[in-house]
Amino acid sequence: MKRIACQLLLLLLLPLIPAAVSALWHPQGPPLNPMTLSEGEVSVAMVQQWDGPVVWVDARSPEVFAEAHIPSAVNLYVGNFDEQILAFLDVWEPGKKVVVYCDSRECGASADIARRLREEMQLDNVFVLKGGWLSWQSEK
Amino acid sequence: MAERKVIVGTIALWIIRVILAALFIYAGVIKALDPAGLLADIEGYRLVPYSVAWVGAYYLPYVEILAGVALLIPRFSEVSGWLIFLLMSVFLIAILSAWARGLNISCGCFGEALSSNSYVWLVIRDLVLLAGAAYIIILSRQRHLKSNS
Repeated sequence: MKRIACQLLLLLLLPLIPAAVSALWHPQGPPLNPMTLSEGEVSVAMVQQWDGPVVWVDARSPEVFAEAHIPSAVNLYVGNFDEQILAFLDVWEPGKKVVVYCDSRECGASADIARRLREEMQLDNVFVLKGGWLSWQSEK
Repeated sequence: MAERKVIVGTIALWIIRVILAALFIYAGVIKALDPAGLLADIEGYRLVPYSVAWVGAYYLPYVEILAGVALLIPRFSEVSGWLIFLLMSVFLIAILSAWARGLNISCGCFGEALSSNSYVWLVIRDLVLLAGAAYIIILSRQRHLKSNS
C-alpha cells in the first residue's frame, strides 16, 4: 500500500512542472483574472463602440432563447448546429462581425460555437461575448 | 488450462492498458493544447470557483498524459489504474451533477473530438472506462501478490 501511495504522489506531483510552464508561457493561456479579456473575447462596451452591423449569435438552447435574447440575435445551439446554421447564414454577410454569447462567464457553449464558425465555416471576425447574456443584461 | 488462463489474462490486460493509455494520452494532449477551452468547459459545470477551474485547466491535462504513459510501464500499471479510476469517478460525479441540474455543458472530455451532448452516452462512456481501470487494478494487484509470494 505504501508503494502505491508513493507512486500516486509522484504521478500527482510531476504534472505540476509542465502545468506551471504552460500557465506561464502558453500562447493561448487563459488569464488568472476572470475579468481580463482573452484573445477573441469582447465586452458589451466594446461591441457598442463598433461601427457597422453586428450579427449576434445566441448559443443557448432554443427554449431559453425563446424566453428572451439580444434584439436581432439568431439562435445557434450546439445540438442544432447543422439545422440552424442556414438561418444564421441568411443574416450573415462578409465583413460583418459576429458575436456569440451564452448564459454567463461559466458557460462554454459560446466558445464552442465561435470555434465551429471559425473552423468549419471559415469565418473571420467571430468573437465571444465575455460574461454572456448576464453581462448584456447588466450593461445594456 | 491454468497456464492458458494466465496467458489470456495477460493479453487482455495489455490490450486494455494500451487502449486506456492511448485514450488518456490523446485526451491530455488535446486539452493541454487548449487550456482556455478546457477552462470554459470546467466552468460550465458550475462546481468550482474560477481560480480552481483555472488551475485545473493547466494541471489536469498533464495528469492525464502522465497517467496514460504510466499505464504502459508495468511497474506503474496498478497505480495509474487507481489514478484513472479516481479521475473517472470525479468526471462521472461532475457529469451526473450537471445532468441533475439540467445544465447545457460541453463535456470537456476529449476537447472537441468525440464530443457529445448526450448525457446517457457520456455516462456509459465513463462507466466503461471506469470498468477498464478497475480491471487493471485487480489484475495488476493479483500479479503483484503472486510475484511476491
